[in-house]
Amino acid sequence: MNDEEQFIAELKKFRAAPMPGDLRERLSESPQISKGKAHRLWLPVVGTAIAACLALIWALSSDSASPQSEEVALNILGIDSTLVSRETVEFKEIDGVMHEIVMETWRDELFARSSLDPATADSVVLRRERVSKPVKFL
Amino acid sequence: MGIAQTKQEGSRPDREWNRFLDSQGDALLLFARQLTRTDSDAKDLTQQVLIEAWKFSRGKVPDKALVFSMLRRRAIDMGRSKDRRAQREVDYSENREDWFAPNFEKRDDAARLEEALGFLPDTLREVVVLRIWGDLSFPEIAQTTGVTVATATSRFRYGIERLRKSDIINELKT
Repeated sequence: MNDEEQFIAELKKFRAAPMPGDLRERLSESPQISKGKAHRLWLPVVGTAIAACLALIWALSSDSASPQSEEVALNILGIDSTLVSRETVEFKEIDGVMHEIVMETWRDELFARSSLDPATADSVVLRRERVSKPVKFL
Repeated sequence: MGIAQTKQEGSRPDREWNRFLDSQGDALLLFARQLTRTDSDAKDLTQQVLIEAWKFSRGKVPDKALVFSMLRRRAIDMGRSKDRRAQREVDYSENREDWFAPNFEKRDDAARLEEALGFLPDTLREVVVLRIWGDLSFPEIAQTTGVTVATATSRFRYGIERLRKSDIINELKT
């Protein structure tokens, strides 16, 4: 054994300090329970994401959602509303009244421009198929 | 009897989880301490990564190199690596927990080793810690740190050489 190997062997005799009691206690329960405790780190992120989604859903689910409110919701998500492209308009009867359904495709832009996780984004995208306004036929 | 036995021995996933903590927790925390400013950050990061890795591996003991890689990425994500060296030097004299297990015979050596490691450049120190206390192979270290195997190897050798030449732990050589 040369000097370097001997030195390394000496270093290996020092063991990493054991986890402090408070950390070990936090982790000593099942991972599911510990996970809940660990998530205090994620709370601000998750809270912000939930708030943003709720704001968007509220804005888009309202029949009277104005362009302004929609834009506010998009801004919360950090998406430039000018990226939204409205591709198709369909008509659908709802409660005996014909409504215009605006199909918007901005999925790619959503993923490209936001840091949303796909699961959240999916739910947002689905909301983009929205009832725009009642239509009166002559 | 059954309930008592379950409480005493724990379910199989719990046993695996505790085995995972026992086998990797200490070294992971040591590595986290190299990457974060404060001991509190290191503990939080370790907890987060242990649980994340466990979830990722679906209840099996995760691959060691993967866990170290996750921890390194998360530390970078946290953005706490910036200026950590300067911060560590400030914190060094403040209340903090030991990096190495107390050993009454080598208590002074442990403190000197800790200090010597603290003065190594980050790139060398992480490789030394991963190899010696993380027990990772050079290919695993290369994967974890995002460098070639040759670079990981040379960094390790250079780091060891720097430690050997350090007056702080000169006594270890004898």
